[in-house]
Amino acid sequence: MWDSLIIQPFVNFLLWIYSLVGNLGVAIILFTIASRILLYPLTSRQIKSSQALQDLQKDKKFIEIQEKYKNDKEKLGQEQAKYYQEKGVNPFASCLPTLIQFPIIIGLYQAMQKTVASTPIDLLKLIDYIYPSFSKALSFIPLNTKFLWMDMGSPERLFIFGLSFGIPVLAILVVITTYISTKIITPPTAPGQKDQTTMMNNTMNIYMPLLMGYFAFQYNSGLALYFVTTNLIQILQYMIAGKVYWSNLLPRKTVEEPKKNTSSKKNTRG
Amino acid sequence: MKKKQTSIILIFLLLAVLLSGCSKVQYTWNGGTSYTDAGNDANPAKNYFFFTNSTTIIKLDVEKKLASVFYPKEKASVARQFFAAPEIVDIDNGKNIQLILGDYSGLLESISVKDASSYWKFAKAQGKYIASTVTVGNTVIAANTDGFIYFINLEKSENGSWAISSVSSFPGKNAKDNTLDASGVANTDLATFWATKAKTGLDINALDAFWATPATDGTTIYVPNMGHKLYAIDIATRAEKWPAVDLGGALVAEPLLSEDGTLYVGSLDGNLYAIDTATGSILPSWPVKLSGGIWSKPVERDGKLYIGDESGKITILDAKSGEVIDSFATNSVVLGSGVNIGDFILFGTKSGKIISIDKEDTFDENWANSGNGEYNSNLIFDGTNLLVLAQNGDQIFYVFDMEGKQVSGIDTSGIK
Repeated sequence: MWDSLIIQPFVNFLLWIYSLVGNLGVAIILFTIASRILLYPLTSRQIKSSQALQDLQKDKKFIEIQEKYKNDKEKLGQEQAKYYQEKGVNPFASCLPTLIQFPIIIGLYQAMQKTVASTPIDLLKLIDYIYPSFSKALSFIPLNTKFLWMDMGSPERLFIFGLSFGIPVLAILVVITTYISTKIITPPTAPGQKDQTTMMNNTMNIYMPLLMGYFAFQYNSGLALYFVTTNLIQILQYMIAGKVYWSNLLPRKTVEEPKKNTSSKKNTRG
Repeated sequence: MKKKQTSIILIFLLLAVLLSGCSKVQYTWNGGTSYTDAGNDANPAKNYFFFTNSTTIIKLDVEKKLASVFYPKEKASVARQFFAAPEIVDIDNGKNIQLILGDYSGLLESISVKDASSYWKFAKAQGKYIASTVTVGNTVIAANTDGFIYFINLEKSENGSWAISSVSSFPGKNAKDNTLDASGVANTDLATFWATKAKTGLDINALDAFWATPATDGTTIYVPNMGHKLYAIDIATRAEKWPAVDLGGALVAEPLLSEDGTLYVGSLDGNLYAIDTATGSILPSWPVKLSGGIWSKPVERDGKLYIGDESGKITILDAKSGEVIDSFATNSVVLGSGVNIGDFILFGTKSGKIISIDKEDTFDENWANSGNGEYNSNLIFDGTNLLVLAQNGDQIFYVFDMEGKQVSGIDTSGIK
């Protein structure tokens, strides 16, 4: 089921792109662009949902709920959920494109593993995956897996003369681009605001780049190339939608919390 | 909040497990060879089979009905996967006979056929040994997936053992690099491998990889590669006899060198070529397009070629004109080479059948009386018995006599 629905179409699609460009690295970049275009309706919903969430942060009633139940987390969650429903906002809609990417990531990784077959048994399996109507793919096997200094079939390291170890350039790029792409699409929150969504975003901003970097370091460079391309396209898509918050990348200054009715204490956030 | 952090970490761990789970080699099919111990006055000549079984080499004594792990003597390493059939090398008049093993970690090793003690190791290659070695005189020729063919010259040491005297390669990056010293003999650690790679700037390209075992006439080797090219290399000088020929498809099959100097080689896109080895030109009326990809060399008998392909067809062709005389659909896949056992030519299929073709070219799929599994490996005949290596079956091998009757009762308890 997984093979026929995900792996086989991915393998054939990758091979088809390869047949046009003759390089697996370029094919992966084009594959990523195509997958992002296909996922654009979801991305668009994510952008709208993020905007709705951001607008909600300024909503008077929402602020009142937070203030009212600040000492009862369970009740706060329930009331927030009720209010989200009332306003027609789904806070998890912004996670959907990320979740949908998981099968794509796994599928792409497995498809790449298949296409760079380096043993007879792998090659035989690859041939089994090729649609009979696409038998011309047999004429360009094995694939040219070289892209710049990288081999798409193995973890990337850049060897520099004089250094006895390789530098994982692509893994570093994955960490940087993942950090930037998650950071700049997160709408700025009101100073001092510490609701669950904000804290979740902050956690994601830290863990996501590190874990993606780990995958890029550990697995085939083709996967890392997919990550970098995805991140860059995501930044571009948000830029086009005008929803990029570059200021999030700058260090936060201590700001004064808006004056409340009850007190006038100062708060810091970083 | 802590719960959410934990869930995020768990999701990513799951992803990591899913990713790593699909990168493991599950199984491979095996290569084997037969060996005849010439014996002496006290001990008569005797046949053995040696074959690879993932991380071990199995020795099969049909007479004693015993299969046992021959190598390694200690616990097998998962890093050392064997695919290529071992080569038996006798360059010492029956003494110190070597069994040459190449593995997926890039290590080539020669061990004694008597007791599996190690003669020499060569670890300079950066890729896998999918092809078996070919030995001419004192030179072991090993084609590797790193795109190099290594010419390993052996010399006999004072204690009668064999050792490497020098190593050359084809191609060399330039004339200076064309001769490697033998310092890589004990070089087995990965760190040194990467350091060597960094210093030399050598890199593995799938298009340069050699998967096919070379054919040789004693002075030249004919080696196909995955990048669709067929090379003819002079063994003494490592110079190309003629410029490499592009055959349009990946070449994994071992070529067949006919006595009249014609070289037959099949490609994965299903073309079978006949090459004039004097000039490197493709003979008129060739290639012949078969129904499926070609993974193994043809068998030649009475001016005819017998060859199986991935579509499951076994085709009989006229060796001169390439005209298709007959074909038989096995409704399976035929990957391994057939073998001529005298009265029959036999082929194994992925569906676990042995197809026989008698001298009148009549096909029969009921030659063997039993056995199951996938028969993807080359069939091996030692003059008396047929060894069939099997994957995903009840047993990893079957032995049949010349009438197709299974030799039963072989003790395999030592290899489980």
